[in-house]
Amino acid sequence: MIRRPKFWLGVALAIALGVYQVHNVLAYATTSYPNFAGVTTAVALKDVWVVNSTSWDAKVQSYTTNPVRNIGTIGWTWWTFRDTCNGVIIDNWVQPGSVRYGASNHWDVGVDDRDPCGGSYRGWSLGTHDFKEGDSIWRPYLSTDEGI
Amino acid sequence: MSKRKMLFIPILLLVVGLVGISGALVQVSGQQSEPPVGTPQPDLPCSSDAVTAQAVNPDELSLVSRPLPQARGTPQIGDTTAAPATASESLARPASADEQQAILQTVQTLMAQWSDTVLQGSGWLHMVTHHMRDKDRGSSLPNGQAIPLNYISETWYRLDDQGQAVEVIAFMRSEDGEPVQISTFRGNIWRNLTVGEKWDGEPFMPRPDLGFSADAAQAREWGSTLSQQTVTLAGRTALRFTMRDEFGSPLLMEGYAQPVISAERRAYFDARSGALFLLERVLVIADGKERVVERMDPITIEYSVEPPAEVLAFLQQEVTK
Repeated sequence: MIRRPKFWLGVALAIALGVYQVHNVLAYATTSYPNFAGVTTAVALKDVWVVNSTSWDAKVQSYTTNPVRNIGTIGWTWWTFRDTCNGVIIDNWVQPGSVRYGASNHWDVGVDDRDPCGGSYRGWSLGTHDFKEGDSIWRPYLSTDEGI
Repeated sequence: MSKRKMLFIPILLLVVGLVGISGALVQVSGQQSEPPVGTPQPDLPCSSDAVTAQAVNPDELSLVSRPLPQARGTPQIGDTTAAPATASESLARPASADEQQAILQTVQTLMAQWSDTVLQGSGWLHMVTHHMRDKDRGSSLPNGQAIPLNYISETWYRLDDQGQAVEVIAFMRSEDGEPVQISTFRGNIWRNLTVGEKWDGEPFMPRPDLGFSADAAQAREWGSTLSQQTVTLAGRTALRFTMRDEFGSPLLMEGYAQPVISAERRAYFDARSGALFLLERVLVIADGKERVVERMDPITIEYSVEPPAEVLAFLQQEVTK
């Protein structure tokens, strides 16, 4: 039995840092398509985070991995970020579709100001991703929201 | 066990814990183990016919059940006829860490005092606020309807014994009182009845200060600075708290034509009751000019007043998506 306080302090620190990471890492949403077009894994990602009291950010990203591979078309057909206060949409920023050709990664970040809200205030990133390689097409809809 | 081993085990646990948890999370979220490339660096039914409100003393809480603003003649942002706040005492230098903590404590004490007054256990809480925004460009709802920059927010919260909102009916109205959006929260599901969307939610604590004290509690983490002044606001003595953000490089936000270099969020509280008088947001443009981009006036806050039947009926409406 280990009774030294330093030992348990270290264990507690490791757990606390782990919990901190869980809190910070789980904010985004992803979905993936392994063996997309038989050459790569396609990944769609959306994320939302608070920067400071003034603004919050919304992100959209399409990329390939394992292995990273340039594909015919990569990006999204549409993307919107919005904030809601008690279910009411305060701002709804609709962005045009955007793609790159012959690339492995495409992303964008939108910046919105934070509005005062007396209840549940949330930021959203939503839209449909776009992956094409040869005859293979993958267009997943993905949405994430976080308290901001 | 030797001392060296005793120290080694926690360090090893720390490293293994961080690596292991990170890896597990990556798997849970479905992302691949390598980091994503390209991640950036960073006519209002204001219950005039409702049951008498409880727990509000008009002498003490001057904001309670004030008449709603008229559709025309409402002071606009930058309206020089509106009584400005005048500072009678100011901080001549940036507040130290201890002073920041003391300011935060003051904000939280005021908020707790005000919450104790307006959040008294189970029952309905009714809040109405007037938002006046100044943007270069607005946005639209998914159905194409424009979202007004200036609007009235009217929200009914049904609180449980813990003071958590378990049912909500929220309206965004034009300044003429016309409904723009209606949303509800029931059975842990949010429903925006106007756009026909719904999503999961959970009970939450309403924030009579519109989130200012919660933001202030994050000031240190965000690198924001807090300051405090005693000011006169429309003939009333108020405590003005300012939360200031400085941006390392000019920041362009959606809806604004020019980048900003810093910003402030200012909350004016009644020093006696803790009631929020006014909340405003200010952006400092790259050329140094200040621009008030939002003013939020609390109009009504009342407790233990039943919503009118036509308002309650919205709770039963369903959406398809």
